[in-house]
Amino acid sequence: MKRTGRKKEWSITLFCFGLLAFFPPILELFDRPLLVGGFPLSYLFLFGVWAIIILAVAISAKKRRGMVIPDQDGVTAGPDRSGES
Amino acid sequence: MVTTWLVVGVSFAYLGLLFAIAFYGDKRAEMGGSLAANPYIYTLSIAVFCTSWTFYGSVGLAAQSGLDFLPIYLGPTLVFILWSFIWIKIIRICKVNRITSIADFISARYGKSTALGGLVAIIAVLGTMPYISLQLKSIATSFTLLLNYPSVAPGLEAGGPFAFDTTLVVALALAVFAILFGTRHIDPSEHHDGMVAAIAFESVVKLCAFLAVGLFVTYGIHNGFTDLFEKAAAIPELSQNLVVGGEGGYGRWITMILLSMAAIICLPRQFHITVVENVDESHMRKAVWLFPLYLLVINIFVLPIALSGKMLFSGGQADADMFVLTLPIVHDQMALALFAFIGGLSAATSMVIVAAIALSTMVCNNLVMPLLIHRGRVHVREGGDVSRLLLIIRRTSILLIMLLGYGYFRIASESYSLVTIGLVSFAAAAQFAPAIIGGIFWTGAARRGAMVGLALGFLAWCYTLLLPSFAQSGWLPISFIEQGPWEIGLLKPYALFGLEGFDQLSHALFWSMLLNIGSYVIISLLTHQSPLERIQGTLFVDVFKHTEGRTGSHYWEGTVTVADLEELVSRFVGSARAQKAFEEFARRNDTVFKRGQVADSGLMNYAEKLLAGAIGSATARVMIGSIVKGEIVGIDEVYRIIDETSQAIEYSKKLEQKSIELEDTTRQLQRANDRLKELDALKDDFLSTISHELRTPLTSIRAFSEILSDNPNVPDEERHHFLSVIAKDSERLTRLIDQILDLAKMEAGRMQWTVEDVDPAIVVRDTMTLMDGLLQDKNVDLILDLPENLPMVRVDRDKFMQVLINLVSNAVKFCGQPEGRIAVTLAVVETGLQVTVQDNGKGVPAANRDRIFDKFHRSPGESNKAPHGTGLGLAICRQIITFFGGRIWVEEGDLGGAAFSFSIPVSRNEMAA
Repeated sequence: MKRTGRKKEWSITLFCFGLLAFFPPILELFDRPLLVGGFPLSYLFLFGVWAIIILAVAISAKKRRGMVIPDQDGVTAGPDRSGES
Repeated sequence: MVTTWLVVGVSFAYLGLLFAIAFYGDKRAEMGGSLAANPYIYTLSIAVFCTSWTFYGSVGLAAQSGLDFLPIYLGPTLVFILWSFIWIKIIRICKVNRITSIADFISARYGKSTALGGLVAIIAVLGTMPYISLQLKSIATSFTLLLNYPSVAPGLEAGGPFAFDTTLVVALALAVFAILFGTRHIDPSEHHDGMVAAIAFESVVKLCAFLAVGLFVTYGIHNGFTDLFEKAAAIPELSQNLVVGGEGGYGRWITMILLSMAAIICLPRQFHITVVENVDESHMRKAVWLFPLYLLVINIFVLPIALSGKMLFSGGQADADMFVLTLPIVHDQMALALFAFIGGLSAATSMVIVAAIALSTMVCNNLVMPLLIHRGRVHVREGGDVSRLLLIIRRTSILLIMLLGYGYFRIASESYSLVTIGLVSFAAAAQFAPAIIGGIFWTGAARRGAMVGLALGFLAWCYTLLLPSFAQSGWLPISFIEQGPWEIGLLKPYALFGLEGFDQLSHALFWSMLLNIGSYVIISLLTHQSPLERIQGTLFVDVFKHTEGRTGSHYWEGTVTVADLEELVSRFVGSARAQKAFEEFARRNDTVFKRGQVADSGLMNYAEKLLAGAIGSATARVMIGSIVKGEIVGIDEVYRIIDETSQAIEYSKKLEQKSIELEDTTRQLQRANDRLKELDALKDDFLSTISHELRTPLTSIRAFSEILSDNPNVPDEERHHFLSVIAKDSERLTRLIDQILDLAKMEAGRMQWTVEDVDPAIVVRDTMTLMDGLLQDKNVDLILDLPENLPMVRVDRDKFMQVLINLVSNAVKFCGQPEGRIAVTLAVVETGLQVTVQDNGKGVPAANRDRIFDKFHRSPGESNKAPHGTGLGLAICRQIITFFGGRIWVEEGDLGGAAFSFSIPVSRNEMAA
């Protein structure tokens, strides 16, 4: 695999961040019946974290030079080349 | 008020449009311009995740318990963060192994087990059944609502006579759609371009419809988000809807996140769209953030619509699941309501179509075909086109799946909200998670573990979720839930073994997962994997390693002709396709296949994968196995193939051994080469010496004879002298030639020997008598030491004498001047009889002692002196002594000069005596 190791570690870190934010007790901190700027705090918090995660994934999934996902030839509808030796 | 015909007309016009899109998509794909080969279309097709559950159900749940609707979308977002670990790996595995469904995936992973594939297919069908009924219910309810509002509301009777017809008609229409675009032909790659395009279009429609309603509610009815939220916050009973926790705590929230994480991977339709319909791995890069973004956008207005609905119907006189529809109707926005209805329809139809296609593939490949083949209904060896049979099975199963969903809708759906029904399906799909996730990361996961885990998890799911849903609808006595079966309290399905305090879903998930994961892990640890399981396990877990270099698994061995193979494949995928695929394979490998040629393992693997696309990998293996003459490779060989490491070690050991041998050989070769060079030099020396040796006497003979012939008047005295010189030199020449001939004969092994028992004392005495004259001439003293009773030796008498003469004449030549002394000694030693001849000359330098026995050897110092002899004497001695089985050597003697000794074995008769 030509992927760099660090990218994988970043995605695991991001995953852990998501787990932390979406699960109690962090969630409980923001889960209060309050309106902040006219929006419920829980609503703002959840959609905010969600948006941040999507942004981070979008950045990490961008194809960068030297970071190639192992490409398999003949991925398209044609027969694959697995029979070749 | 909308007329029935308008709604029905619009609905069918919409379905017609879908047909058109799908048809166009298929046409484009056939012409090579695939619509599905596009990351945005791919992303939108993955959004099939958002069904009526999202469109109608989320609002209902939000109205009931606030933000609890969100976990279903947060879970998938979390899974998509790990896309490169999970999705790329699964997609790669499926492409390499031609896997076309979850059942195929699990069966292939665990040793291509037919039983496991069948079990997965059954679980998938039963688990999806509530989900399909949810879609049918939402279509029926929304249809009735749109036509009859407000007369039927709030007590929606989904079972009204007209709704009955509509739902059934819708179910059948969807079945027809799925049949038309999902099973037009058997394609080994299972890509349905037209269907994917239609699903993507539906995703756009449902998103637009939902956003339209959301915008209308937020900005049409209220003055934006802030206004809406402030109004809601002012109502005490709505404050529950603004938070996550509330009364129920976080148990259900956590359960739903975990459940949706499993579902996004394990739901048959998600697996189908994300993995099987994937055309290019790189499309995942876009989908990985666009899909969560789609989820986020479609959820923004859920809470506002729910709050608005709650405020409008504060008495609870409307079904919260239908707020999306009722709010526009109440505000007299019939066009918007119709659009919302179409949005809901699109959400429902997309799910049903994809699920039906995915399930029919599974039912056909993993359930029906294995059974037919097992029962002997499909004979592999006989001719006949099986691809038609496959299509019929798939079409029938689509119809049956749809009717099953309809049946569940009639039986159990009425008393549940949309989300509750959907979660039952999620919990069933989640049963696949351990087998799938474990299967791609844990090589040691075994078939029995997966089998037992799935079976127990599924049973627990049936008992704690499916059966109670029947009970609540009156199909089972309600006491089943309240008192437990046979009034055994411990077996109450919602409080199994007395476990209370959980909501129904968490309770069911706990028990099913405990049994599933527990037995999966423990039984995997307890059982031995079969070789095939180990191969498949390694292929799945190390898929990147395998696909980087060579691909595939070359473990077919046996003989089958290309024609047989092609015929088999053509019966499942059609002859034109099979021929095309085989030609393609030949072209890729730059070969031409003759029909009678024996297929190599590469072609056999290829054929197996082509078949796997059509009938599932387990069945494909059986098919190929049935026509391959000869055995599938034995255990030992397979182990050898898998254990590449040990093979490498073995190989390197062999290599090491070879290299040592090679080194040894090189050394020997070098030695031989040195020896050869030496011999070559010797030969040159020999030739030059011999020509010199021959020329010297010849020259003198010629010179003297010329003098004699030219001068007849030479005085008698001189003439006599000249003649004697000629005679001497001729004699020397003769001797030289004799010796050369002798030596050559001896070396070539052609010498005639007369071997007999000889008394050495007599021979020595005779020799010394012969030599007496020479000794007298040179005035040399001889000391002869001849002990009594010497043993006989078995030699050739003349040759033995020749050795003695050579040695003694040598000694005479080299002994000290003027008082020369020679000693000849005989003695019996361990190795036999030893004869020593020594002189009092200047001896042989130690460096020359080995080489002195070589032909024409001269000591460096005396090369310019006139040679005393032929230079062959000692060489001949050595040849003779060696022939007698003895040894000859030279050392420093007692008299100060050289001491030549040889030993020869004693006669065997003598030893016996």
